[in-house]
Amino acid sequence: MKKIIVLLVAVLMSIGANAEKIIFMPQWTPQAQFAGFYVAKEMGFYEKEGLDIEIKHISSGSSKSALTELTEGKVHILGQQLIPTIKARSKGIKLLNILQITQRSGLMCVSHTPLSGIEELNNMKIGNWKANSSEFCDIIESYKHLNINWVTMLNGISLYIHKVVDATLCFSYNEYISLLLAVGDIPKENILYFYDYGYKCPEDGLIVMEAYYNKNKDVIDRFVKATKRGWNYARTHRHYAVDVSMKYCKENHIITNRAKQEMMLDEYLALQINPMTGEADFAPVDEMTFNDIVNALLMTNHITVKTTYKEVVR
Amino acid sequence: MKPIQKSFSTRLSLNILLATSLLFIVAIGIASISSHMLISKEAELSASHLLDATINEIELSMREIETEVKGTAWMVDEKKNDPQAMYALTAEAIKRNSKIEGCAIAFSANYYDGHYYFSPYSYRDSSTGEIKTKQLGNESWDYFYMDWYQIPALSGKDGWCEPYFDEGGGKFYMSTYSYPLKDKNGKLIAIITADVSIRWITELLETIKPYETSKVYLISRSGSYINTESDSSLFGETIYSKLHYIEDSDNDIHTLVSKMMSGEKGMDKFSRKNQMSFSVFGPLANGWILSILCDYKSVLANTSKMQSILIIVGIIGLLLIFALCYGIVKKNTSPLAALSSSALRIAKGDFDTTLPEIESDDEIQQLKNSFDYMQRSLKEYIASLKKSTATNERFENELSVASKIQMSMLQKVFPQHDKFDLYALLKPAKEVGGDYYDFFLKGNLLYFTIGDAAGKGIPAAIVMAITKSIFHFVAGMGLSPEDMVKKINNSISEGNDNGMFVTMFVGCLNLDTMELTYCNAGHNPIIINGNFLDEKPNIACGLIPDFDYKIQSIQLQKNSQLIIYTDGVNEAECQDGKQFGNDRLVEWTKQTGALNSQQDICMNLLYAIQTFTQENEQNDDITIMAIKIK
Repeated sequence: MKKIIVLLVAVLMSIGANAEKIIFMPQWTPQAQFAGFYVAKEMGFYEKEGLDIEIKHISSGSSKSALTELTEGKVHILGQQLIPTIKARSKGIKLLNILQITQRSGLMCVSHTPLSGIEELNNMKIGNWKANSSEFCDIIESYKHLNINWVTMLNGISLYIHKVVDATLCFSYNEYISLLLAVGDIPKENILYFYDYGYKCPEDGLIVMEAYYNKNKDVIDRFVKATKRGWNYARTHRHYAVDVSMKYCKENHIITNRAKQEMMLDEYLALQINPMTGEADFAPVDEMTFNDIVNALLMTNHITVKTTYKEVVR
Repeated sequence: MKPIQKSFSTRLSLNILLATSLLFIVAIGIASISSHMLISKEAELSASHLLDATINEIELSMREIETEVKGTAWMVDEKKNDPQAMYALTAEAIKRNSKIEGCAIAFSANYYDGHYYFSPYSYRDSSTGEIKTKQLGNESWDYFYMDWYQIPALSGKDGWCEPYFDEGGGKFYMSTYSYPLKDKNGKLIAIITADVSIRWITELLETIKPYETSKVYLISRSGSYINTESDSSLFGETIYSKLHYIEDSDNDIHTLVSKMMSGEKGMDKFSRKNQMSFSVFGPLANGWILSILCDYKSVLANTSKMQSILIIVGIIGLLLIFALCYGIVKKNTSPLAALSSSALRIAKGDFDTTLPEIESDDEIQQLKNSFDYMQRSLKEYIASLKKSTATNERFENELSVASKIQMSMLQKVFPQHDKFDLYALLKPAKEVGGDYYDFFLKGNLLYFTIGDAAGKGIPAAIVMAITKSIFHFVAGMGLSPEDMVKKINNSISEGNDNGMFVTMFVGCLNLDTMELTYCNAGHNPIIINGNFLDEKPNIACGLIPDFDYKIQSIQLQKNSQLIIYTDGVNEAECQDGKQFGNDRLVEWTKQTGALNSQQDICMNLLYAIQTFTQENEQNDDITIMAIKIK
């Protein structure tokens, strides 16, 4: 009996010792946008896959790109939107999209004045994130023949609230909710969802360096599996998911509130619903949409080398 | 234990207590409502003044900071050719104003050649209080996109930014005032800032709470609570994130928030969790909102205490009033109690009891006099009553004897005969009556009669007795019915000064031939076999002497049924004045076939009459005789 216990302890210790250490960096500071990852970690889903995950957020107020952290090897897996992924790949940074989390774009524009159509954005002074670079802006301007005065902002909603811009870009699950909780109500006619005007580019996905992928395919598969499990659990246990998100916010000194995190989680989970299937299936971006985005980036000179679907999407 | 309600003193005192209590409650109610309204109004006004004063104080402090920054900006402009002098300027600004925790002069990009970022920054070391200086700005802390830089840079206006946790600078939560310094051409030179610790504002707001439970909120333009150090639950919250959890049905709160955030100044009341509160609110010059929230429970706490004291004093006062009233009323009504005892003794028959002496000359004295009079009157009345009662008792005894005598005069034993069956009954309306019946057998002849003396009571009874005596006398002479009636008529008529008369039916039934000879002297017609007998009209006896009464005869058959009766039968009245009547009588006699005996017929007819008259008092003697031929 004694031998069996010793053996068992040894096995368990060996499992702990052999757990793959992975540093995952979400693309932004802690919030319910990453609730599925928090849940997967807190519920031990990663651990059960033999993974030792560290969720490393970028510092609050920092303007340093998370992609830099990935390319420098400081993190192994990064949460990133599809366009910067394609752009980086085109520049020769060998990235792979290993999981597409959101299935449609949550990008929107909130104006101080009513917007009857996308053409109303012409000649407007519109806030845009520094991190968002200018790809989206150029695509919209190019495709819709608009001339927009983009004002780069680090984050947040202050430019809109202080009315130093006519409108601001928002993500429906983040800045838009912050705006709602800052001003109380925004007339629906002042809101424009780019998805409604043909902007099909899905946003958040998980990326890794190709070299890392090739060496650790099994680890990544387990990470993806546990992550999906985390998100599915968050979908059915939203209160818990918000609790966990709040915990991460607090640990990282993020000034937030529960109402925002609740609303964010609801909206973010809605963006995970695949418009084609009506389910949260984490389907990879389809090749046609991918190619459309690549062509748009080529047309707007944001990339010069065409990136293929197979190069990026796994 | 004597029930309290029985005491007049107690009852009167309780009534006074009740009335006084009602007045007290009304007075307390009015006073309470009035004082609540006045104090509430006063509290609202006071809070409003406090709000104004606080806004002025904060704005004054902010203006001091703004003035300091603007002064620094002037010096920056003066010394802009000496970048290194900028460090000293930031430090001096902090030294001059203790509220400034940090000061930066953030130059626009490449203002100095080769320096994309140039932002001298001084801050107060939170642990040592020492002023330290450093350079801010690099690729990972790109201040050009910080709110404190970007908003004034874009708008060209100075202002206060949202509270933030500054990781790059002072490492504490602060709000920053930013002033854009421009050159003559309007081109931005630098943004000069002053960081103000939120703690300073929180401490200030902590001192202005009108009541212990009052809450003071300073809210930024984006709805964030600024003074969260006193209430950590507000940290990170916005007014709308809090509102997110308040039901839409709480319209008052939603309206209040809407007014506040639109920059209005005012006061609103609202109810939350069954507690009424009010909030005074107003905007600061920089767009922030200050609100003081007070719940009326705290506002009215002292009033409520005063009310409690007032109620306790009132209750004690009421109890004293009760005791006082009880004592006074008890003293003043003690003669009444003595009178009451005397009245009780009088009521028990002690008419000689002495009434208490009343010294006062008031209603009680009058009552005593009335009692005195009543005592004497009662004494006399009772004496008179005793006398008249004795007389009445004697008279009633005599009447009872007369009734027994009269009843004894009636035949109670009815003959058992093989050729006829006979039964009769008499039910007088009073102790004695004027009806009578009689019969006797003489050989093969059955004499029978029924009569009704005029009137009721003793006079009629005397006439009846006389008539019966005469009937017995003449019947013994073997006369025919007509001669019997004539003899009776003449006997009664003689010396009949009172005009008394008797109706009577006299019949003589020959038991061999079954021929009935009869004479009806003004009496009701008899009924034979359910039909009135056809009779010649004769007058009643006693009216006309020597009247020529006519005899009649009829041949009866086997089973012939005779009903002879007085007018007490057909004239019996029910309560609504209707009479039993001849028709009902005849109809009833037609239904006697089922009855076995003449006694049953008499008794059933009497029962039918009583059923008809119900509770109505019998107003005439009822006499029934039934004869059936076998």
